[in-house]
Amino acid sequence: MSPVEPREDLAGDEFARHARGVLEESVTRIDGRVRSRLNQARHAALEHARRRPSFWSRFTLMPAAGAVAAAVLVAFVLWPHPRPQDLATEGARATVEDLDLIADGDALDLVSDETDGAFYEWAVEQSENNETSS
Amino acid sequence: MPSATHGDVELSDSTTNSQTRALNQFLAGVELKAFKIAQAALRHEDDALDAVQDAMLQLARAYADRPAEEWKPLFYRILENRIRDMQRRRTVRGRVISWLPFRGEDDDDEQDPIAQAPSGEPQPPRKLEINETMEALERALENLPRRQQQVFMLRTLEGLDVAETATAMGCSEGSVKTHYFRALQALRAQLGEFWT
Repeated sequence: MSPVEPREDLAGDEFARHARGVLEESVTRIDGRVRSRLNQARHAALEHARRRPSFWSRFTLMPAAGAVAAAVLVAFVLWPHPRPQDLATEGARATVEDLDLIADGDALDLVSDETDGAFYEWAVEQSENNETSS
Repeated sequence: MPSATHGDVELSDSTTNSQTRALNQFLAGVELKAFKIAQAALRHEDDALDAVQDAMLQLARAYADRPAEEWKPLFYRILENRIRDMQRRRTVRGRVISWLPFRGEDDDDEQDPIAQAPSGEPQPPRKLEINETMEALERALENLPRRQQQVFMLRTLEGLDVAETATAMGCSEGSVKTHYFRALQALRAQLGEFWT
């Protein structure tokens, strides 16, 4: 239990009433510039509220949105996807090729030989030639 | 025009108009007090105006459809979030500026000397007394921890009850009561000479 027990009825005590009176008086003294800016801000907010789509118009848009979502779903289902086993086979083949490269000592020598730029140019040309011929 | 032919749209148009009128009434009723609350927290007139403006826009954009009796706690919840964001940003900016080798004076903080000059017009004693009390209260409020200040302003100036204040502050009702009690204690201790 806290040492000082708050009391609900404090809102009604003399001190709080006096403070309220002083604060309310200070509100009445807010100058014209501030009042004008608050007025403008309120009108801007109301304009936003007016331009919002109403509760009912949201429902009128629902059929169109539903039709678009259904079309996207049908297109996704009908689109030819690669079968999972094809992907698995392809992945396994790539892994085996990578393993071969790593196990091949010559290939690692080639990779470490950074100065041999002519070889890499040749290799690129070869692969481009292979692609055009096939 | 669709509203002339379609019953639902006509219904929605009239609903929107009455909703807009109700929202206008609500915002007009809270804007000055909201400004005062934001100003107490931010201690800067333009920042306070920006915070209130953002809160109005956010309420209109996101919660205009909600029942009107929910607007007040929602509005003050949005306002408090906005105030907190601005205070955080200000803290970060302050830290960054304190690291900069050349930091210029902030033009926004410069006061217009003509506007600040005393008017020369003699003030009646009652008005002077109110001014002093008001200044003392504002100073004392500035010294309060943020949550205590927030609870005090929402409960005392805006007149929110404990449950509404808890919703606006995003905390429990017990926490509201504790903060309010401590705020009153602190203010009493500071303002004793003015208020006894």
